[in-house]
Amino acid sequence: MTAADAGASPAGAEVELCAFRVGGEDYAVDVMRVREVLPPPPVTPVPRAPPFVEGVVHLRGEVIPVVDVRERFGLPIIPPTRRTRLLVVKVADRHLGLVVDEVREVLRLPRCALRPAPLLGSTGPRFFVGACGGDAPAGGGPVRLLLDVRALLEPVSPGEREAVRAQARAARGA
Amino acid sequence: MDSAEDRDSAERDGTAPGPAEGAPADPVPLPAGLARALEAPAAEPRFVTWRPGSDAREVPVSPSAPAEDAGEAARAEPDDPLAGFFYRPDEQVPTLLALGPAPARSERPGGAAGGARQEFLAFRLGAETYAVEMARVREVLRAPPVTEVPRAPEGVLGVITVRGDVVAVFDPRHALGLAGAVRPGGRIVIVDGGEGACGLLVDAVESVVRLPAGSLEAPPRGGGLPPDCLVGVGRDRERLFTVLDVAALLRRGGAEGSARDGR
Repeated sequence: MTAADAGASPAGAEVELCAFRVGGEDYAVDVMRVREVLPPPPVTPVPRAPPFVEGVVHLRGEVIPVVDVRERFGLPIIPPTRRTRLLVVKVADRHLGLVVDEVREVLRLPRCALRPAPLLGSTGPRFFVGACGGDAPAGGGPVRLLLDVRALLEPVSPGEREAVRAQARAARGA
Repeated sequence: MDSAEDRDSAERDGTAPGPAEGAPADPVPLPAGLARALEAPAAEPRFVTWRPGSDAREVPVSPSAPAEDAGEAARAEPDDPLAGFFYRPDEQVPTLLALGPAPARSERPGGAAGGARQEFLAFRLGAETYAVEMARVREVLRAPPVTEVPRAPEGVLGVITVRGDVVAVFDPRHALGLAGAVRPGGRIVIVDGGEGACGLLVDAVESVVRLPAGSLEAPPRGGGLPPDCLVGVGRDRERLFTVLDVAALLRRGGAEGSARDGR
């Protein structure tokens, strides 16, 4: 952490989020996680990969595992459109590719515009840690669920798809 | 700090066109919004991205203040439900192990691990193929419309915005003294210019070539290309490509234009 990263007064501090869409819903991740956005290269399936990994892509000599977010959230799979993108994100010291329907924009919001989602106490990964936008005076724009990318790496648990829908509802209503 | 974190800091700090800050006589005039932001009185804290743990200190810290105290407070993370949402290079994610061992390709800007093989990104300018060291390449984009910056050095085509960051775009043809106009529909290769990210506008990106270390041949002399920009000549199957030095290219792109203007 550098001096520039810490110590700003909380109310005035701002965060930048990268907003994207999957299955008609809006989501956002920390822009510092985003390494690159590009039209999706062909995904090579990998035998014996964990179920949430669709395969890998080769990007300038690097092999990046790919998660299809629609698939993980239990949404119907559609053929890629002109707007489909591969969102390459950083998790610790590794990279992960997320296939999303559309990458919209980078938003700059005050930290206080991000609302934590209520804990539902369900087992399984917690994908949505909060939300922003909607009717919040500082946010504006559609309600966007804050996606915890690390949760995409957790093993698929039974009943996950219903839990995801419940989490999304709860986070949106926060 | 580990070098991955250094690189990330450099990525985030390199918003203004790098070489322009070092230009001797005629600095590139920045876009109006940037100029205003930089002229803000020093007492005001600059825009800082909130990081988890920064709530621990109320006093705003200016970028020139010593880092030790701020670092201590930042690391004492409060119980914040959104903390994991934000990226930290040192975050602990045990589930990453499910993805298998980390890929062998090194992330460090130092280049190939152990000097075993070196990777280059080959691209085309007109009919010829050139390349730059892969370690310096951040990403490749389809060239969006470049916003011109008035009174910029000749080698600077303008700026583009990449996910909110302003990146200067250079014309490598100008730095190399090549004839030929900039064609639409090219690609921009974002490279690490030492002081931040810069873009090079090229006609097409071809491939990544991996060569054993030391297999570059010496560049031909008297070939018409400025010698400081040439690292060597590599061979990929039947094709030869000229490896360029990114730092030298950017220096030429930024400085030579001012010299030509006679200022």
